[in-house]
Amino acid sequence: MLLEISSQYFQVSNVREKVLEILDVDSVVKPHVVMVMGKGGVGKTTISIMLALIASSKFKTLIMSIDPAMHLIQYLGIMDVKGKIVNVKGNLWAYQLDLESTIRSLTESYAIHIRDLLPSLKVLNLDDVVDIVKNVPGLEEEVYMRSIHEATTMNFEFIIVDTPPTGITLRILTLPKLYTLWLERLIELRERIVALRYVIARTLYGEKEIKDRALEKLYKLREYYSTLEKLYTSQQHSSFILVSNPEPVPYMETLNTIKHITQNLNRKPKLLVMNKVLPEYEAKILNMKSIQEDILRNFCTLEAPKVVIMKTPKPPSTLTDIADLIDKINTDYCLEIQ
Amino acid sequence: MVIKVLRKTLNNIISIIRMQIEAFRESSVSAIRLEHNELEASFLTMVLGPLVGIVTGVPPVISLEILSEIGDEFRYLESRAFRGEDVIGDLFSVLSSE
Repeated sequence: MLLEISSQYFQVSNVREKVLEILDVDSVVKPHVVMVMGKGGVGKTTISIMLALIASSKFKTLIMSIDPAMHLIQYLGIMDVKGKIVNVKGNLWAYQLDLESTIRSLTESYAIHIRDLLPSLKVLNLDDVVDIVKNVPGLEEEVYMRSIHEATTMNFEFIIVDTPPTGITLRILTLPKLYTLWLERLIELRERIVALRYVIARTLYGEKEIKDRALEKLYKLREYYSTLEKLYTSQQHSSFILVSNPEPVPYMETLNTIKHITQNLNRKPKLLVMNKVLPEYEAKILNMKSIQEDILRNFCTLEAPKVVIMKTPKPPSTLTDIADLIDKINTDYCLEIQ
Repeated sequence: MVIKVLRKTLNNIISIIRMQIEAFRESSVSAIRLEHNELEASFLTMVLGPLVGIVTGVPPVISLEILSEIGDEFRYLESRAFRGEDVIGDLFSVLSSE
């Protein structure tokens, strides 16, 4: 029953306008970051491209994938340009993060200082030190955070982020807050050290001013993480779009994500997408009908704008396939089943 | 000749006074220097600890970021450790196999 109703709304002519309205595109602060989140395989990349296509009809838009699965470059056919921003068409630009090489170049710069400071590591060659640093907790998340931050400094109005699996994404969203807290403590301690150093230098040598590179670095880091924290906690600066499938595990993950962003960031999702909804006959064959209906009923009770997209006979594999899929977004599904 | 002796004596007195002033200054800042050194050792322990297996709570990424700016302090801490001035510095020295 639920699925029959949804199919009536496949031909929504102004679906692009409705999505733009949901995203509140005219009133949000630019650049605006849209994080598309969900379990692996739910269609995050497809939804990201759809949103980017819609947003780029009015605004200069960057679709960036920080998902190591690298599906974006396959859809867009930009295999040879990992790590570069390329124009897809008109207002739409794309960027696929090359995680491995970015981590490598970052760790190499750290490794030089580590080898310099910790002589015991001199028995290892640079590659070994780089390998050790690569496994430092939080490094991968740092690379993701830097990529997003860097994108916000460019001349884009909308940045649609195709995120890595949920666990990592949630850490990306909450780490800036944790890091800012630690930096506050370190700054407090360092300021005390610098104040004492000033007293000593002034008393003994009459120096009027002393500079401390570590303190300056701490201030810079605090500014950087505060900017990211503000980005993720402000609904004017960012939006969260959660993608799920009508299956228990992806849906449970979506509910957990909503809980997480509500509790830790005091945010609500801007849009919930139920993707790959099975047509009724297919759901029956797969013995998924009642499970799917239960999930859809529950989905419709969630507090956020919602859209439903039916599963297509052939999975979208090109930009044209995805553009065609936009017309199949059902923005009124939950209104109709009430 | 007399003037020469007087000048030498006067110079010696000035030197003594200067040294005395210097000694007063040194003694007046010694307590501050002690506090400074201990705070610096604490700071370096907090920052470098996560990189050598000491759990201090500071995220390792922050430690890695600050690393390039604390080289001089770290070397100073090491030299203090060689002179047996502090335990924390000594600990770092052991960790860095010196």
